Amino acid sequence: MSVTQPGTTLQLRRSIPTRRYRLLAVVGFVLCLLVWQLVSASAIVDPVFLPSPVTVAHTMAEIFSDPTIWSDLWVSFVRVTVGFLLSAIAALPVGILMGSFKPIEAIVQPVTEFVRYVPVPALIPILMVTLGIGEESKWALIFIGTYFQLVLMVADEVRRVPYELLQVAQTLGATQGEIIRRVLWRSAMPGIFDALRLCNGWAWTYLIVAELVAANEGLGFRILKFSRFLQTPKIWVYLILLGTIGLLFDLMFRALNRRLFRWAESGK
Amino acid sequence: MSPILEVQNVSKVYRTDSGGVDALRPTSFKVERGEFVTLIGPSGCGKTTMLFILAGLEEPTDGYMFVNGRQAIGPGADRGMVFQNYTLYPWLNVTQNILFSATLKGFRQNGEDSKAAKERCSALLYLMGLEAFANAYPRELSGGMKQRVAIARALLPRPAILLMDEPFGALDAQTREEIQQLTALLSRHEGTTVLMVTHDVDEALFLSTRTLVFSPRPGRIVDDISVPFGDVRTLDLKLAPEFISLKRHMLGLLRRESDAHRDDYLQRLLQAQEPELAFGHQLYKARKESQ
Repeated sequence: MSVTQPGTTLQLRRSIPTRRYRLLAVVGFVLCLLVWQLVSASAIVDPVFLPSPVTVAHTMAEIFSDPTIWSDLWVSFVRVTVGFLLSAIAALPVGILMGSFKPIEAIVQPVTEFVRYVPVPALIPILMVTLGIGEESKWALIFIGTYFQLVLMVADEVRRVPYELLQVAQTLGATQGEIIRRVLWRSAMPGIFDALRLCNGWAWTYLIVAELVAANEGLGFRILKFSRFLQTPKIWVYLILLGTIGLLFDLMFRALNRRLFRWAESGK
Repeated sequence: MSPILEVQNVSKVYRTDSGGVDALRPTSFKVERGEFVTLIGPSGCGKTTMLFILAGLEEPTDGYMFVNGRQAIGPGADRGMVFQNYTLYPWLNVTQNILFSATLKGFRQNGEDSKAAKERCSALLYLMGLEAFANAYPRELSGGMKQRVAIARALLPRPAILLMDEPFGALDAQTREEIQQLTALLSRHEGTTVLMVTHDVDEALFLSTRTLVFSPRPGRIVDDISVPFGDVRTLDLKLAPEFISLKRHMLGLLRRESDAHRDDYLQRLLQAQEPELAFGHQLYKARKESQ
């Protein structure tokens, strides 16, 4: 019997055409909508908590006719971006040095691992006391939430660069600085870019946490406000929006990664 | 004039938690300008360790080495290296890979100019038959082509010695013969001194002017054979009687060394008095008698 069995549709690790992949992705979403519709129509769950997809669609149109949504989106986007960029700017050099030199790793890594396991939302009270409820506390929360993860991931990517690439550079007369800049960093770039993609996703999560606790505007703040008035359809609209934003950023990072690092694609 | 390479009592002991593992016993040899020397021996015999020490990528436990009469410590552009695996930089195209050394600070400090380097790069591309792939990326190349680029990259700064670690091991037989001939011609043409590690007796005899045979671990040189087949060699040489008799001699040496080791192991296993191992010894004896 051959490895590829004709007649069966599911074959281990067999790739499928891109068009079919996209079609199936849409099917996944449609299935979710169907289940949602069935559950809400059967009234197992109180419609106050789970409105029907149609109600939510109407609410969405209503929400987008009001400028509040745009200012919420903008405020949240700026917060995430500032926090995320600060974290990336700090994490890249530290991570690269950690991945390059064992003594630096020994100093930084165990401490970082420790901080990483401190639940970030538990820091909110301290951040609010020290930084207030303004923008700085949001940036700080996103920074703390992503920096310690990112540093470790960047260091991992640098460590994953094949040792021989570094040895070749040595035999060609490269200095340590040149090897870091021209071999380790360059070689680790696609992986680091992927780490940034994951961290951007986490940044949105921490933003919402921060806004739910203390904010005057932004997506998270609005969700909290809707819940006070039991406006569940509006909450659902915002949740769908958050998912969409996450998915869009993810797709954007992936597309950029493919464009920037075409060399990293495997094989012919 | 001093030899281009002189190795004095270089040895290597790997430190482990439970003491040390002897990888290379104190070894000395000299290499003259323009020689093509192969280091041959069973796997794990320390020949690769020797090569990495020469490249400056590993520190010898003891001993010295001199390149052109000057002591060499650490890696340097005077000793080019071609690795067993393909080690091209995937983000650089063929030309950029070959020119890598010319973009480093050390190169510019030596007063070399980049225009000359570019000309040398084109010359190497031509000699290697890579002109059509000057702008290709490594992922678009076959294994043989990748290794040709790696050789060109190592040759660009005109190293005093080219070190090669089983460079053709991963290639199919036909590609290997082709690139072997190319390497032989190129090293003669450039007058490069080459030290190449291999475990392939045919390859050693076909390419080199001299072969150093290593014993199993801990390695030491058990024979220093000069290979007198002239400068230009064709594949027919591999069928010539002189070639075959030298090959028989070398295979004999390698087998004697590994046989001695196998007997030693069997002896130890028997001492451990495991019944299934005694059976293994019987099997070995029976096989030896039937030969």
